[in-house]
Amino acid sequence: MPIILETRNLCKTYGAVPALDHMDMTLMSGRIIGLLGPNGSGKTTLIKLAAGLLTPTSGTLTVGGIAPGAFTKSAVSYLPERTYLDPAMTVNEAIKLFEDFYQDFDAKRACEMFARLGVDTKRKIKTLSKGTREKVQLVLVMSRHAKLYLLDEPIAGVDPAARDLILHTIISNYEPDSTVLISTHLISDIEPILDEFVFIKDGKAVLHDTVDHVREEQGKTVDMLFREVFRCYENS
Amino acid sequence: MAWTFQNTLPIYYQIADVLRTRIFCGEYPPGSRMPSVRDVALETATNPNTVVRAFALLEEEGLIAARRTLGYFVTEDDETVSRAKTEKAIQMTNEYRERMGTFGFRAEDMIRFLSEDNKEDS
Repeated sequence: MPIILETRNLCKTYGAVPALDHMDMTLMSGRIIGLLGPNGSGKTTLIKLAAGLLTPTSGTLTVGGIAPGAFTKSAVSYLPERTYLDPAMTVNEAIKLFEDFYQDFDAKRACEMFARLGVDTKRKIKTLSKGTREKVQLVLVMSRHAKLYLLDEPIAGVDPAARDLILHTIISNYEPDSTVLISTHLISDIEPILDEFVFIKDGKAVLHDTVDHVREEQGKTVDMLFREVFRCYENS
Repeated sequence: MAWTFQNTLPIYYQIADVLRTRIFCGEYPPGSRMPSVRDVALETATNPNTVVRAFALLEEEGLIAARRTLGYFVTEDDETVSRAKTEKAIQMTNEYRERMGTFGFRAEDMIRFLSEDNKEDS
């Protein structure tokens, strides 16, 4: 399996504030990976760097071996934590926009998913509920045939039933050779769909393991481990 | 979520356990085609790679076999199934014995409980 995302000594500072601090991380293709850490640990910064929206202060980050740019953007599908679609647009217009923008966008797949989720594509985005808007964005992002999906907090702010639907959407659209990186702090909700997880704390990757390995070796869920690891850090 | 998983066991192991039970009960009859990895992933709301590991475990036990391009099929060998069933029975018996043991019950107590009609609601 080739390496899809790699960081070496990656630093990103905002003014004097470090967000990522010499982060080393290697992610392989074909996995669903949780990027887990408390608020302010650097999750969103890392995702934005991988999406090519920010540039590193020092160190390197590569997607499929090359620095983020026009080429990697064509293979990376990014779900930001905030809404970015024009609220005056209808869902159909958003589909059209994605079709124009991305060669790998599968409009048929998007329409099928919208039908299944009961989203009326003729409606304007501003008339949809917050949860439905989040679903619309996720469906658009997951309807691309990308190599790397970057999902920043895809399940925050929706009810548990919608959460299940979102996870279902991720599983049913994921292709075996692509990688999904999901940032969240709602660990127990997404744990069953993860292969691996990376704990990130103060801008560093402090632990990278597989979910089943933690269960086998320690008889614990990742959620339990998370509570332990991050409590320890506060004490030390 | 369709399934709830125990905290302390690997998820693939728990999926294998349910699929095994379905083979034992005849829900997946001998010689029949197993559901696809993706179907099981969707049903269980788990990662397809995890389901692949569960299938690999059942394949190792001889309960299912892969046929190239067609997917997995349930074995037609009754002996393999009955051997796996016996193993499961031993495992469940051991669990029962261990739990009863923590309450101080001995083998003869357990036999008594098992032979008596203990239905509360009858």
